[in-house]
Amino acid sequence: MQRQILWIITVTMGLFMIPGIANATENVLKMATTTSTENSGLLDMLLPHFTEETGIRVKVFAKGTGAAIRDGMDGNVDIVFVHAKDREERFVADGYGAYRLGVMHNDFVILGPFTDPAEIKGMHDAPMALKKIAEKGAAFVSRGDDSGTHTKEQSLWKATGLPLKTETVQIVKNLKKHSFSSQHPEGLGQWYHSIGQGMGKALTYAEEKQAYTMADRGTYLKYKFGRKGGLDLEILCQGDNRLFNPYGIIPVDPKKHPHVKFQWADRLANWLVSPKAQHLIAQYKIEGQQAFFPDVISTLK
Amino acid sequence: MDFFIDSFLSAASLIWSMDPEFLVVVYVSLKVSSTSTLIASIVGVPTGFLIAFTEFRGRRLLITILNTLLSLPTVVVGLFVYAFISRRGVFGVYDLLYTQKAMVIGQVILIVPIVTTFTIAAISRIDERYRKTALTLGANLLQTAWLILREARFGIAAAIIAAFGRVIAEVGISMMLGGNAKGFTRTMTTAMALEYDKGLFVLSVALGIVLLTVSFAVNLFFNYFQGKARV
Amino acid sequence: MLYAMKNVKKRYEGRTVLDLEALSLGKGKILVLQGPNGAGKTTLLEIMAFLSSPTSGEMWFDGRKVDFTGNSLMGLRQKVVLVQQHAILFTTTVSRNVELPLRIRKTPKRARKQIVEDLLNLVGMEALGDARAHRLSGGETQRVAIAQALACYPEVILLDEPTANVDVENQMAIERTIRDINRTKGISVIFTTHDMIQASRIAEETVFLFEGKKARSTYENIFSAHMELDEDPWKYSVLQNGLRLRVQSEKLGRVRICIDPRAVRLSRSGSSEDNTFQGRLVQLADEENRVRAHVDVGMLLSVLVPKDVFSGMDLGVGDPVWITCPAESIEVLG
Repeated sequence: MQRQILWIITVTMGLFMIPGIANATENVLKMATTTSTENSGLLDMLLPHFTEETGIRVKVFAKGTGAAIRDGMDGNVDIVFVHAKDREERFVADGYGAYRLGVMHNDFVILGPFTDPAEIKGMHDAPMALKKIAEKGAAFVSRGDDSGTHTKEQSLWKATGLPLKTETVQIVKNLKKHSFSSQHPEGLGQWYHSIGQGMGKALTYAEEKQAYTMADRGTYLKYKFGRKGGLDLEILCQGDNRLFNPYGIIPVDPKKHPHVKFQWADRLANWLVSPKAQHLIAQYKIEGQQAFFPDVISTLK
Repeated sequence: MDFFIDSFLSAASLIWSMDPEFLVVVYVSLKVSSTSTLIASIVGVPTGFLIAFTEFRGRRLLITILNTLLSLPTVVVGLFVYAFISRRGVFGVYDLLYTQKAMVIGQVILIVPIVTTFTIAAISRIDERYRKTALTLGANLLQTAWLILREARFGIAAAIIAAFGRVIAEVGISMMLGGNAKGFTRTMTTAMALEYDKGLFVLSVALGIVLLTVSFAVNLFFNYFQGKARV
Repeated sequence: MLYAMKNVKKRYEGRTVLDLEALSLGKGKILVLQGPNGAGKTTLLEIMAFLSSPTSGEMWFDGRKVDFTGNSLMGLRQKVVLVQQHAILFTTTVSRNVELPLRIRKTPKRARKQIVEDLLNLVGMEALGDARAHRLSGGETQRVAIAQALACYPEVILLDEPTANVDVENQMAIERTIRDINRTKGISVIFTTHDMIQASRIAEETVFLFEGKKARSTYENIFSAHMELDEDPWKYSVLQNGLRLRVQSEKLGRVRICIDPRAVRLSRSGSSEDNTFQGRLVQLADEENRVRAHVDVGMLLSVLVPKDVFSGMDLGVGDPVWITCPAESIEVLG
């Protein structure tokens, strides 16, 4: 009797381990995206429409942009939906992505506590605002996770003209040395908190420390108005062109990874720039405010 | 296979370079873990001793609960402590969240059951005759307790090593309560999680190798002292 | 009186392991508690060492009543020390083990060294001072444990089976030490043993224990029996092999009887006296001033005969003999 039970358990567990058996008949597309896209709630609204139309279900893996692109390079996912234009274009140029379509954009905002110790409230020049924060030595929280937001933040620090520290890690890859570098202003470990976590985490961290930080508007709205006891941080600096944040969708190139479901990925990419999806994006509101601006139908802006 | 060779070489170059930022990460790991282990031992060893040596109602139930707490997920501890020390929590005014103190609080909660149950096991294995011998030789209760603890020292050292191993390797509490802030609360494990998130797997594994190396060094250190104590 | 007890009982999980109506033990002597396993010897020693308290009853130590509930036990333990059966030493060197009681008593360091040396000399372990205690043999451990106990400077030293599982050489050394510490240091010694020869060799006084009770004699010659009525007040105690012993007792039904080997008479010819049986001499042993004879009367019976009496009888192994068990030699146990 015990033997039989053991057998049943073994077989059942074995079934779980064989990939695909559980839902072999379903059409599942794997998409890597950034935490900020996921956190904004946009995909939860958008993707069911796509599934309804095409019968293709989309599995979303939310990570930092770096990891999302890495997933694409390794062929772990079929399609990548991120916001770091330079890196996306390199991803396509290196042959990992088939093509890139601009889908939409939103913008970043610089947040801070109500007390605003660095006095940046109402500023429109983002680098100037950061410079004032640095000069004041007021606490600033950086994603520090190699994400799109982090990439944007680094470019803004560069624009301040402040001396930056470049940090390089060397790793060995295919027996050759590679180095990865990131930049940050001087003051790490004093006022500059590099936490290496997602957008939501960075917001709660900044709130906890009553620090300045940079966030995409969508996630900010969600945390400020979308929950009980909203985020205790204010928008202090916005409207700078350099805070512009474009999102692109890139199917993984089947020439690099023949196993990816390119056909479906292609369909999703094209659907996202279709009038229907673009309208849906334009209509998506977070707490009464438009969060994303479609790129194809710019008239809807 | 290349992946692991790459990881090993990266780990070697990481250790070899003695990069100050990397050393800070190792330092924070060791400092936080040792502090937690020390505090948990100060709490857990006497508690275990008392439980092993006294009879009271609900003793068995207490031991069962402690054994259950051995499988306490770090995330649960993290959330629990978070709720108390965040700015909106009861102890919010102390500004504890995202500090090393917060990590220590969480880790102590995590490993006190480990130290306690291991101590109970170690003390229970000690022959009853030791207690009687100590008493008949005129020892008072404190001296008797000390003599028994001394006899159980290998078991108790094992308890402390196991607890240290648990905290130096855990990531949930460090991430949730420490916040992975570079130079403040970034530890080897949260750094690993971050490098994984960034897609730098090789660096992540390299850090893992460094962690094991550090743990190995700590264990060698303990072993050396155990050897010394074995008169 | 060193110890005096009245109605001392000890119960473990509903079982009475010790039940002493009255017991008094003199001061400055070597006393032996004798009895089989489970007789309550260890329990009694632990009570006398103030390591465990009786369930009920009263005890006096050195003329003063012992309060087992209070904090006075700690002080009393300073005067009495127990060397447990299969003594256990702490995991460190031999000398540090002996030094331990001195450290507990805060003896100055310089004095400690000399005392430890002297005590190790006394038990003949001076060569092994730096050895690890847990590497010693059973006999060596026992000797070190005695030295350790002596470092307490006790008034009384209690030893539980000090020579059980000990080789002959160590046994002799331990016996010598027991005599030494009693004679030269004036310490009262109480020890348990089931070795009768040893008991008779060094004990000045012997107390017999059987099933938690003080027995009249040794526990030797214990048989289960069935009581049958005879003309009042006599009864027959029928042994399993059919032997019928005439006894005076109130008990009925299944009992156990104990025949004191010292009270049994041995002779070459029979008589019509009660409880006289014929048998055959199967074994002889020399025990100090007595001879132990095992006689087969359908079952083996042990008899102790003074040496001078025995030599007058001119008996050898295999010879037919008669034994007589007088009424006072038979004890009926519950």
